[in-house]
Amino acid sequence: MIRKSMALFAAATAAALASSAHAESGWHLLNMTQGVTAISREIYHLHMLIFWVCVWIGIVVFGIMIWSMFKFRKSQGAVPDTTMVHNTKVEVVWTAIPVIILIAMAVPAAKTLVVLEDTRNTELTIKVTGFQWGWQYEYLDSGVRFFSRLDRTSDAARQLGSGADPNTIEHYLLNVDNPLIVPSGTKVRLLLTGADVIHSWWVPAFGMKKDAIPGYVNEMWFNVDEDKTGLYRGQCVELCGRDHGFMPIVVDVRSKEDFEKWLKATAEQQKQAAAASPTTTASAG
Amino acid sequence: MPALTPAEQMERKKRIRRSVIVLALVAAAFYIGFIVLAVTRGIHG
Amino acid sequence: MAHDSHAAHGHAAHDDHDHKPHGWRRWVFATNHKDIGTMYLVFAGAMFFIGGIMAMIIRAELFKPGLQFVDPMFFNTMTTMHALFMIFGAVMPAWTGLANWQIPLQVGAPDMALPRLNNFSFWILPFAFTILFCTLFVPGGGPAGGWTMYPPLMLQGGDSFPMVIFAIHLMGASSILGAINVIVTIMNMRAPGMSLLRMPLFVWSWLITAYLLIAVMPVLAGAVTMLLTDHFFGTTFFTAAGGGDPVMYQHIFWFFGHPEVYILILPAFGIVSEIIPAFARKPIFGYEAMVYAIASIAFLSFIVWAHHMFTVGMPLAGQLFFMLSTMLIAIPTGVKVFNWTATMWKGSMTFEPPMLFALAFLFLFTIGGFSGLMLAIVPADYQYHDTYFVVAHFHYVLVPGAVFAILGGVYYWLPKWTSKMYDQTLARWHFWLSAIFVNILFFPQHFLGLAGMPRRIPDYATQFTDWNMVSSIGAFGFGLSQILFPIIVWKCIKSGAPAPSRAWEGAHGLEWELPTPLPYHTWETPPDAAVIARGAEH
Repeated sequence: MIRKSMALFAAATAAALASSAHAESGWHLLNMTQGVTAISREIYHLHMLIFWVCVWIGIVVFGIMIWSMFKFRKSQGAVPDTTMVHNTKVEVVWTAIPVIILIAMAVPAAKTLVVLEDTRNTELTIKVTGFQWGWQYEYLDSGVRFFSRLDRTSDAARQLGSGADPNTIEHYLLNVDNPLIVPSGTKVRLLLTGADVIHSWWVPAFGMKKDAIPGYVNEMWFNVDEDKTGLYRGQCVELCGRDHGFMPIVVDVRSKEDFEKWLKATAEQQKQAAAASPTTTASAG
Repeated sequence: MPALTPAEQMERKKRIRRSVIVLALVAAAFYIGFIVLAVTRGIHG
Repeated sequence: MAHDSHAAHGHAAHDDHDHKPHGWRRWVFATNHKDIGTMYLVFAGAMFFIGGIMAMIIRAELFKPGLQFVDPMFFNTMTTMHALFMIFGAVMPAWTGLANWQIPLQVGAPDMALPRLNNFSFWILPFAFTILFCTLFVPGGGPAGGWTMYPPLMLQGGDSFPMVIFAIHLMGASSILGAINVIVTIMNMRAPGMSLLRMPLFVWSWLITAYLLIAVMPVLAGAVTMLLTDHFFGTTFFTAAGGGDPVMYQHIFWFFGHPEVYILILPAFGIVSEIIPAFARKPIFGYEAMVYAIASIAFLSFIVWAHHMFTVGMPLAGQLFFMLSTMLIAIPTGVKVFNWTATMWKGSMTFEPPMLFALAFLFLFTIGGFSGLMLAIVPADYQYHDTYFVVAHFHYVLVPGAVFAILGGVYYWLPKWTSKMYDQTLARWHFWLSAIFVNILFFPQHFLGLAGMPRRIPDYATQFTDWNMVSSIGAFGFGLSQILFPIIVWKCIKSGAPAPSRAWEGAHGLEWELPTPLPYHTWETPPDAAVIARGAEH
């Protein structure tokens, strides 16, 4: 029976490897990435700190367990020490050590949290509204606003029985029609709310996620490094119904000059569009 | 074997009845109380 | 009612010592704690396989990117129903089943204190789960808002919505009645001389669990009732448009939800504390510390709920409070792990199937504890929250945690219940296949979460393909290896070799003082002081 199951297992693994061979391999995706903001790097280091603390505790505790499993086995002639039932000194020590470790971890965590929650001195405010199923972005100072949804190629391929191979589609499920455009090196504040149900806005490279809740306006901010312009992708992370898995987020981080140029042009364009058809508000970016 | 005497059995039954009543009241109070509290306190305006 | 049933039962028992009703009446009108325990366990097993099939559907869809088998709505229904079946249908009834079998045997009582209530609380469950299962076939499909049932999404549900809420009320009522029965039994039915601090740790863990159940199941009932009135009677508790507050629901739900996760795990602590001393042939280290650790975990479970919702936008002080209180739980949990380790230290260990499951629990639950500690760190949680990292975390504590403890408990006590020994070789196969596949299944989900894959999505970006495939292969392997379990149990009942009354050399406790074959009625005469002293060598 074991041989049979092993063979099955090997065959399934081989099939899995073969079918994914032509796509970009994902085996190296093992850890959180450092991201492109000071906060995301700080969170990454916090994550690694607690990870290594857990690894070391694990090595010690599992080491002792494995050691006793080898040393104190009946087949090795081990005789149980039935008088060993209680030892106040040891018990105090192994209660106190975790307390110290926890305090040592709570302090840097609290420090990062204080920075995270500090939304003062932001230079650009964008209102983000989650809806079923996409995002609306509104630049509060200039009035520019547009919707952002899953791009058509992914949307066609993701239908049940579409026959399309997702591996042939660039940025499958992580591409949108109109990305959010923000300047680098700027403290950008997002005001998040939900139009219908709760959504949650997350771009892993920025290190933060916040829920977009109907009736609430939540705040979060990020500040992408000056030199880290480019496209960053994320997804809605709060179950929001049928197409929860299909409302990606793409942020196009541009230099301050490029951003200003884009914002001005778009504001002008949207004003003209609104003037041309006064009954409908501008919705395209 | 020290079997329970009839008197002890009666005593045990009495204790069981008492604790069941107390626990049932506590549980019912929680159950109904929480629903009532939620429904009445939650109505706005 | 309690008085009558007890008298009637006592009467029947005295008249005819080993008489038991035959046929379907034995089960439908069951008042014997052993029969009811068996029914609970069989029911839990059935729900485990139904919930497991749902998990297989989820993992099959996630085997590769693109939608191959199911509609996204049905996928959401599967994740929701899988959770409800596993939590309320498999794990909780399995604990109640073990409690029914073991608590009277372990405290020297002839039966549970309230046998008819016991029957009632069991028979509620098949009805509740029939209703829940039938939601799959009503217009609009089954519930698809996640087992947490967050509004406003949940309020969009179709005809299944009131059925789910009714089913949850039934499950809650069943749990509360079961919990009352456990508390009353433990407080009143202990044999003379069985003081609270001589009770086995499994009984202790259940006593505390029962109090948690009574405290929090009504909270869940209140929360879902408010959903119901929001949907049908025009209230707006959670609807922002009417002045309601969707976040309030999350606070209420998790005030239930966090104690609930300890309801799922505390009896596991109890079982592991029974098995490890038995196979290390050494009393449990720090018995009283273990009791206090369970009690403090239960207490802390009431003040950590908001760590499930750090991203809803809480004030800084609130986030700090819930981070620190959550981290505190690591201390009593650590004490428990250290005490189990110290119990093995200088022991004389053998590795029969129950011990294998208990040891796997020890290692893998601790891994789940580590990821729990990582999740408590709020800034890091902003990255982990609602990703597969969380999925990996809670499956590590629930599958190799709670489920392995249940399997270990059944393998430990099955020879006592049936007076026969099961096929230990096959049970070892069951163990090794489960232990290997469970890691193939859940360990890669840590990677997926850290790489940015959100949970509860039916389809994913292509870079997540490789680890999802590994995880799915692990899932199919784990699912298939569970089929061994009913086979082993069935073989044991049908053709197992006779087991001695003390099935395991190092097993202590009153249950092992009972004769073999195990009589239908036990401890009608309470054990005497010498027997209790022999049994209570924790």
